[in-house]
This record gives sequence, structure tokens and C-alpha cells, in this order.
Amino acid sequence: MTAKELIQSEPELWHEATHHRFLDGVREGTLPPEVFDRWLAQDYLFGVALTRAEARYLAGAPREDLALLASGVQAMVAELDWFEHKAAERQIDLGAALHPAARVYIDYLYALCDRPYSVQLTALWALERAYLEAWRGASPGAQAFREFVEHWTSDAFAAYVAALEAVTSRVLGQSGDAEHEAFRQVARHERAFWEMAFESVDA
Amino acid sequence: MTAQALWQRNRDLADACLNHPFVQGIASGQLARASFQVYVAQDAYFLEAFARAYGLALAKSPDRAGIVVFKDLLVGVFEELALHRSYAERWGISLEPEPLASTRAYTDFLLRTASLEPVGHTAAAMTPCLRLYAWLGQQLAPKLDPESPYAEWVKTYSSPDLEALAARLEALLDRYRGEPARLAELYRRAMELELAFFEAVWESA
Repeated sequence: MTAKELIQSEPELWHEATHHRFLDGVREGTLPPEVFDRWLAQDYLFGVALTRAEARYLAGAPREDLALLASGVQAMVAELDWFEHKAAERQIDLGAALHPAARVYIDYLYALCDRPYSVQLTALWALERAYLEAWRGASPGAQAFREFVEHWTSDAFAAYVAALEAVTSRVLGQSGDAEHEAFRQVARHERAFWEMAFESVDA
Repeated sequence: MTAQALWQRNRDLADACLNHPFVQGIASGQLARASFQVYVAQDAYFLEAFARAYGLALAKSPDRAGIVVFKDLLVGVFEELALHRSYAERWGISLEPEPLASTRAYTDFLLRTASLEPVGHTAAAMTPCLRLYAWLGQQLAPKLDPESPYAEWVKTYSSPDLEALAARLEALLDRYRGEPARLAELYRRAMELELAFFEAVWESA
């Protein structure tokens, strides 16, 4: 099974992971700024955890994939800097409490640290691919959100996702039950992560 | 015990590395090509383990300071590997060697520490490599024969960039700390393994 076939095998889950009224609101300009800001703070906290998880997956990766994962870690740290910069501009508190949807997603990524590399990479690719696809669907974005949409649909990011996709197709090989389950888990967490933006932390 | 104190405590081993014929031969250019080829291949194996250990340390970093330093160290490994690849192409060296026993001893020590011990202890096991190479580069630079075929090695390790990176890792060690006796033990062990690495490469060529 290839990475692409994984997506094709779960059309509904994938659609839900990559389409949401949050993204429609970004595209149409109808999303309340405070909803976007709340989501951004949670996405930052998720990003910190993803950086750690990716570094941990790297530790057990085959030699041929080390450079790709190191470039991913490097890009994530640059991304965190960018988030901090944008948060300062928008006066967002990045010390916000972790929303339950973000917490369970983060715990899932860390729980994968002791799973096979093929499962880790499937999850990593799926979440990055979902992010890219979701933001492409919001493109070009209303003026208020355009720089974010452009940033998250950049050619560099797309190239990274394509490289992860090639690795995922390679490691999927003949097996795939655990990897398929990881794909489904990520898709569900992605859906819940969009949904979260419309709930407050203490909801 | 601070990173500075740990370094001072292990100056005997640092001096032994500096005075080792392998290291002196790099500066003078008199080192046999075969020795350097073994070194480059073994070091490539070693750097791969370092990349993995940096990943483990980053995952355990409790704050942004640690994440950023370990990320920079991780990225630095690939810059160093690029230098090794340029040597490998020039001199026909395979960068996928069988590790020597001393190389394996060092990588296993590093990965075991990074896997099982707190991040401060991991920093104590990692710091000697950075600090030693920065110091060796700085000691050798004034004596370097510019015609040495290994001049690039000395220039790389005497660069202000490496000194800055070593200092940042030392600052992390001082920030995270750990059980003092264990920190001293890990630091000493890494220094011993550094010397053993030069010795093994020297003897195997």
C-alpha cells in the first residue's frame, strides 16, 4: 500500500480532517479573529510537542531518512519562532492552557515514540499532509488571514510533505494494519483540532 | 560542578589528545593518508549516533533553550557530514564502515545515556566532544602548515562557530545539571572515549 492509497481508503475521514467551517471562515473572511487566535495558540503548543516527537522519531530512523527528519525539526523550530512573532503582533497569550483536544493529540504523538518507525512516519506524514491540504482548501484566504494561508501552503512545505510521503510509501510495504490505524487516528485528531477552535479551553 | 570545572578536571585527557601523534599529524600535514581515511569513515559512523542522541536530548528538553541548542547541534552534524563526504569523494573513502570497537563503545555510551538518563546527564556526555574539538582546533590553528592536506579540518574546528556552539551546550549543562558525581563520571568517560578513538584510528591504519 502507498501513502496515496491510504488516503483513498478513508475518503470520509480524510475529508473531515481537511475541510472544516474554520477553514471556510478563513477563506471567506467570516471567521471571528478571536476564534483564529485561540486556535493559533493551541497550534503553537501542538507545534512544540511535534518538534520533540519528530526529534524522537529521528533517533530510531534508518540512516537514509536522518537528513530529512533533521530538516523537519529545523523547520519546526523556525516555525515556532514565526508563531511567537505573529502571536506578539496579535497579542495572543501563548501560555494558554492546553485544550483537551490538543492534549490528547499530543499524547498520541508521544505514545508513538515506542512504536515502529513505519507507524511513526505514517502519522507524521498524515498530519503534515492534512495540514497542507486543509490550508490549500482555504487558499488564497481572506485578506485578514492571507499571510497565514500563504505560509502554510508554501512550496518548501509542500516539498517536505512530498518527501515524507515518499518515505511513508516505502515503509508501508506489505504490512499496514498498525500504520492504517495510525492514519485513522491522525485524521480523527485533525478533525477534533479544527473543531476545538470554536470551544473555549474550559468548555 | 560547572561545565568549566568539568573541563578543567579533565585537562589531562585533553592534553593527551592534543599531544597524540594522530592530532599532531593533522596540523603538520605529516599524518599518513590511510590514518585520516580511517578517521573520516569512523567519524561518519560516530556522527550518525550523535544525530540520534541529539534527537533524544531534544525530545527531553524541558524548555525552548534546549530545543534550540539541540536543533542547532543536530543540523551541525549534517554540515560536518557534508565535509566528510567531500573528503570521501576526494580520497575514495566509504562512509559506511564497520565501526571499530572504540567507535562502537563511544556511540553505545552516548545512545545509552541519551536514552535512559536525564537531559542534564546527556549534556554532560555530549559536551566533551564539542569542547575538545573546539579546543584542539584552536590549539592547532597557530601551528597549522597551510599546505597540510588536512588544513580544512583545523579550520573547521578552530572556527568561532564551533566555539559558540560548544559554549551554548556548556550553558545548557550548567542550566540542567544533575547528580554531580554522575555528571563528573559521564564527562570523564566521554573524554576517555575521545582519546581511545584517536588511539584506535592511529593503530588501525
